[in-house]
Amino acid sequence: MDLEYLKKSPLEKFYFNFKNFFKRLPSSFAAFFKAIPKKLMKIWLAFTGIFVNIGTAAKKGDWKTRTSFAVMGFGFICRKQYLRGILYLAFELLFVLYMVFFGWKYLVKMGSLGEIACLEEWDDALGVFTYKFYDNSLLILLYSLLTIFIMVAFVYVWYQNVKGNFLSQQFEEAHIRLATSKDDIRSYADQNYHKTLLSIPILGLVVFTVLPLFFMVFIAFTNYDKAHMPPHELFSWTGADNFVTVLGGGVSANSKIFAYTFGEVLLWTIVWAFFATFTNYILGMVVAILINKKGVRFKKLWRTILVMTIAIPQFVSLMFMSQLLADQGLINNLLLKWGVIDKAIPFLTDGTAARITVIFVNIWIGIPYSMLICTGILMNIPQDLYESARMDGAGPVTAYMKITLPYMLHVTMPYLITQFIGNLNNFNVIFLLTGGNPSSLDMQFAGKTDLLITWLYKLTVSESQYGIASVIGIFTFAVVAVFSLILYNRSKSVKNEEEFM
Amino acid sequence: MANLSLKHIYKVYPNGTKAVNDFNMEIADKEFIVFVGPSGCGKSTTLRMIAGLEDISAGELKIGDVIVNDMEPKDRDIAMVFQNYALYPHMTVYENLAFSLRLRKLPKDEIHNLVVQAAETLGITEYLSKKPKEMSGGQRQRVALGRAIVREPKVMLLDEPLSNLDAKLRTQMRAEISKLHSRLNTTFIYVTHDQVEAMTMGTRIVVMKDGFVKQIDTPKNLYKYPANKFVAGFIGTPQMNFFEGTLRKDGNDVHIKFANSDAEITVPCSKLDKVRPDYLNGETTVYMGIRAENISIDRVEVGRSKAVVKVRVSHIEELGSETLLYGDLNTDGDGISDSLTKVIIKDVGNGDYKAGDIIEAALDTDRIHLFDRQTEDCILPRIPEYNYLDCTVSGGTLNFSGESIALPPAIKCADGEYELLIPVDAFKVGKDISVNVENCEDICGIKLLSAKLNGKMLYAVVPGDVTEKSLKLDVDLKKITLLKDGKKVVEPMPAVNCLDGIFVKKKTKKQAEENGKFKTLKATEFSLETEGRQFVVSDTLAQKLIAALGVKKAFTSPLKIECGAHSLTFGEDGISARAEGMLDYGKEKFLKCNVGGKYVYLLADRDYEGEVRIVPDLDKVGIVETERNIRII
Amino acid sequence: MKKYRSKKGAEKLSLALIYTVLTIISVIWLLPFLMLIILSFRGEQAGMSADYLFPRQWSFDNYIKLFTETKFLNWYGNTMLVSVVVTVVQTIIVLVTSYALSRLRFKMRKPLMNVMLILGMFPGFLSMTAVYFVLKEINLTQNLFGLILVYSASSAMQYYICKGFFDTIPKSLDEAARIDGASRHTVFFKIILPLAKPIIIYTILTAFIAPWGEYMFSSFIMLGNPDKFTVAVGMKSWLDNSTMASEYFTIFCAAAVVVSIPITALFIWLQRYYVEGVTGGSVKG
Repeated sequence: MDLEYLKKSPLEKFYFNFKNFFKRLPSSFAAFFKAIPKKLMKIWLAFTGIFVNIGTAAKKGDWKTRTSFAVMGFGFICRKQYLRGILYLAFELLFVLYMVFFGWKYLVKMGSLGEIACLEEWDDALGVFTYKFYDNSLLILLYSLLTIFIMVAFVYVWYQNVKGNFLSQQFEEAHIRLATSKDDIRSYADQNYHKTLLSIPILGLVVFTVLPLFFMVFIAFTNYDKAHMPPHELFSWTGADNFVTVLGGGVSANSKIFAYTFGEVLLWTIVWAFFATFTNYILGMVVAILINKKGVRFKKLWRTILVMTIAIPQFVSLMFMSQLLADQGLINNLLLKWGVIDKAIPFLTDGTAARITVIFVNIWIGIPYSMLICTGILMNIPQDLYESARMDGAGPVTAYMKITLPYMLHVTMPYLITQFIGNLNNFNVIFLLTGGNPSSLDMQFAGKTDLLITWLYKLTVSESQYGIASVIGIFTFAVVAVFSLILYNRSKSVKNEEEFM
Repeated sequence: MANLSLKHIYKVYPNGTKAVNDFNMEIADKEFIVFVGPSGCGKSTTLRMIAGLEDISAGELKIGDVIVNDMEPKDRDIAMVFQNYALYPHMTVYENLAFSLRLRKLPKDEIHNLVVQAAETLGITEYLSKKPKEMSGGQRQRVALGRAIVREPKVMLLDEPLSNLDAKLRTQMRAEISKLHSRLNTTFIYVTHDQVEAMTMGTRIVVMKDGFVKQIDTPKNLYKYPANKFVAGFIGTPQMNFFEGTLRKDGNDVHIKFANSDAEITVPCSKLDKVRPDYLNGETTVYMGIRAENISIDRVEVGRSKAVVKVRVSHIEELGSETLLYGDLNTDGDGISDSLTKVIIKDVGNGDYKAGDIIEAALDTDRIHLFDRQTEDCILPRIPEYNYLDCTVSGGTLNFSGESIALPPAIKCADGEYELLIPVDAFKVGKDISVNVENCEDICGIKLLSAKLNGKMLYAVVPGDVTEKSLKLDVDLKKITLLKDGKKVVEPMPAVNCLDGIFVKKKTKKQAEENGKFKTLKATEFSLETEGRQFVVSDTLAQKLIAALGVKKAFTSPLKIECGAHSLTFGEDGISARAEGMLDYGKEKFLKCNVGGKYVYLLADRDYEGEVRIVPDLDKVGIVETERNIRII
Repeated sequence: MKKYRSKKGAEKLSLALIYTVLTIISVIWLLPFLMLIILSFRGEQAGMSADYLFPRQWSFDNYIKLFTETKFLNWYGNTMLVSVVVTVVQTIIVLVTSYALSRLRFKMRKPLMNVMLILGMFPGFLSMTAVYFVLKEINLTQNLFGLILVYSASSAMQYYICKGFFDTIPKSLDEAARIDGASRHTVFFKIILPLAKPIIIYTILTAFIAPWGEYMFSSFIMLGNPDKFTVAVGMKSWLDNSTMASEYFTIFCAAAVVVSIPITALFIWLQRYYVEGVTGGSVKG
């Protein structure tokens, strides 16, 4: 069968694979769904395992272990593992203090997001009416989320405490030497070194990325906008209204326009990402090949000219370009003066022209970068491949199509994927060059060249449409995630991380 | 400077594959052990477990007298040489050598002395200020060795250290490593896939394949007595010739017929008397192996030999001192395709032959190896399992080879002719039969006695050297088997009883006297629970179990407890069992009883009936973890 | 012989073609920057609608104005401060994270990498509002420290290229060191870091350059406080409306030159490491 396959011409092979793909589709679907119960079972086992562990610790633990259920670290302290014990105890105390004096107050209001925002009250001292602020929906949401995070962390630490205490008990009973405080400290430079190294980076990630993300996801389910701005106003839960609005199912007239805008912007985002990625990649490779061709002199000079342009901050070149290409910009003026054209070219003011312009400017910005990457890899292609191809009678074009391109695609797949995903979220090029303009009447707060990310920016910064913006953000994530999943699954090289070690 | 002990070492990956299976070995101080095998056989994994770079899934690893299972590599006092040298590229050779000493916070002068000394030993003094990348492969290898020896470790581990060198350098470094070993007086463990390296360097070699140890022995014994076809084929160049064939016993001769060829040779029966008789029926296909140097084409030799085959020469390799002839036993074959009739002959004389000739070759019948076709194990082992004899039973007496023994009540069978299987370990100096001692050889620490019993060869394992010319032996009748037409009529009593169990712990209070006062002390008691009864185990056994299974799993893993008939006794607190009958072997009596549906045999001093209670002697049992099938004791 | 010559001829022709193309490309790439420099020396006030390139009056007026009449020097200082601090913090975090993910084996390693991959798919700006209010609560909005915090807090997610580099350092080096008696901490400082010089420089370089060109976060956090602008936000504010733009256009050019010079110099100096980092990190799969 394999030999049969090898005999086929490329077209037949394609047809064969195409047919097989659909033939196999049902069975691969079946396999996928068959795997689900197994996965679920695994998760369920891990989940129940937690309770089993706690149960065993409760049943078989001695009084020291059992006391640790309430007084964290108690067992450790009794077993002379002071450092651990004290840290656990301190954590518990801090948690209780936090909950009593801070967390609790916000958590109870999470359901309503506050009742009174502010009242006008008579200020005796000043003799005027002043605003007195009470509930701030924003802070309530933010702090109750923070409290939930801390509670989850507490439960995790508590579980570790129970497990650890029980393990210490078991060790003691088995006459195995327990780790002393000194051992613990030393282990943080060795066996537990990852905890030492990663605690601060992860804390930063949780506070400044994960928590805000959760916050914004929750905001998507509220009516937080210009009309509901804390601290003067409250905002409240509105369920999936914002999603309905963006998808065009809302009752307001805006909803239809939102849906239309979303569709337009999404489509353009994908088109943009595709063209921006591939034009850069292909042209960058061509330039690299030209520079690296045998016999071309001053290789270093050509390369340095291009690399220098990477060094100049992007915002400088982008803003300068936007000035040059304006309707009354230098380029149009020069061309008009020389009589090449008799009407200014609307580089940035006509929808279609602007879209083409940003792609071209992006090529100008991006080629040096992709050229650099391609140069490195081109030099790694074994020369004997070309030599044997030439002996087999391949010309330069064939050699490029059969050797260079497949090799490059294979090796740079991860780069291409990250580039594509980066371009889906490419804020700078669009915002600094066109600002998303030209604006369009049939679109809501978005222009012809706006990407999802710049639209999101506008909705937040200039329109204060936080709820809607969050929905757009979530959709942007969905788009990026879908593309990443498809692309990463397509490229096998990403998976074999360990093989390269 | 330490001995190593590996007991039931396993490496099991999370997906269930076992990279190393039940690795058992005692390594004495100053030995040079070589692990050899094809890639993926688990040799490197074993080495890395010894180094502490991989976790040990189960088992007990001791360096010196310390269990090091959970010890960090840096605390094990070992040194390792890596295949790619693993020299620190940013440090000079001096710094590379001094690195470990500096981490141990030795004084500067001492570090300097040790580094210089190690550099002198290896002749790399002039490179001390160089960086590794300025050096050649051979020099780097020396630095890597130097880094290992500089702190005088207890054990040196070498992971394919020569495979990145070219052939000439490899031979040279091989000799140097051997020299280094004799100078340092340290235990060396060396991993390689190259059998030549293994044979030339090791004092003992461990041959591994697919995670299993295939054989552990000295180079000479591996070459002469391979335990299975894999070892036979792996050791020695050119590779041993393997053929398929059948063995047919005919009077005092055994005819060996080669498959796919007309070749047939005759071997005297006495040379194959360790082979199980059912291989000699002329139907069972077996593998035969013979090395190229044990085939002769010398005219005189051929004329004298009874084992002559015709070979069609297909190809000749002239090596100067000797000639390799490639041929085919099947004179119609082409001699090139990898068939089981292909043969390589090493000729030291100057025979006149050319490709296409059909020549006669004599096989050295003392050097024929035979292997089972399924298991590939050697069927001509150095220590046979059984003695195979013909016997008759008449009126309660067993007659064989002119001797007769009264059968005990436990063995009941009708009169008639039978085949008798007596295990080699079923003999004891006594009075039943008298034999003439031929030889007593030491095979890996086991003394094997070969003796003649009225002209019939008999093998017996004996505890010590035998110097007498003739000897009287007792036969342990509970171990014998009687066969009729291939069917077992009398079976030996099972040597091992299996019980399911689990390891448990329990808190107890005990009274102890301290400073003249009685105090109640709390302690933990460990026991094995089987059939609803708990038996307290010794602390050493408990620690072994915990070490092997880990604290968390030790008390939940199901275990299989194996105990022999002699390690079970009757006792008040024992497992309840129902007596099902007595087995009377004359000198010893055994009780067969039923424990929860399983039969258990134990030594009994009198007859028992009804319910009995039995107690295992936990210091003599074997324990296997059933979930992963891992032997612990 | 004839064939040989013709082959040589064809080669010459193709070389000539390549040189032409390369020259054109170089011009296209350099011209805007040359224009930028030329415009920065324009002495007369001609706004954007001038239809000539070379100034009628060459002068340093733009530069003088830049440093005396605008807040540029202030912005420059802000950006420099932010850059330097972010560089230090981010480099440390990236190195530490990469080492942990590349060399240490712990249960949460794979999940952590997956979580970071997923976090990277969210548009960074989405979380900005929340971060803004967090910063506001601790009085760090319109504050450079707040900006530093935002830039460096999620540095861990930049681990990918650096980890790729660490992955290429043979594992046996770690193992040899651990057998020699080193703890994982010692391995990191004594073995891995000395070998990671190219990637350290690459990380420093990228971390240092990023704040100079970043607009999205800084504009949002510094909204309404021109004293705390970074150069990108400040210079963009000059061009936001057309009346200002025509007045400030040439000053903008001068500022652009001033911003570009140190970074370009740094870049050309460390080019080798940058190229190594880019090519090494992006192709490893």
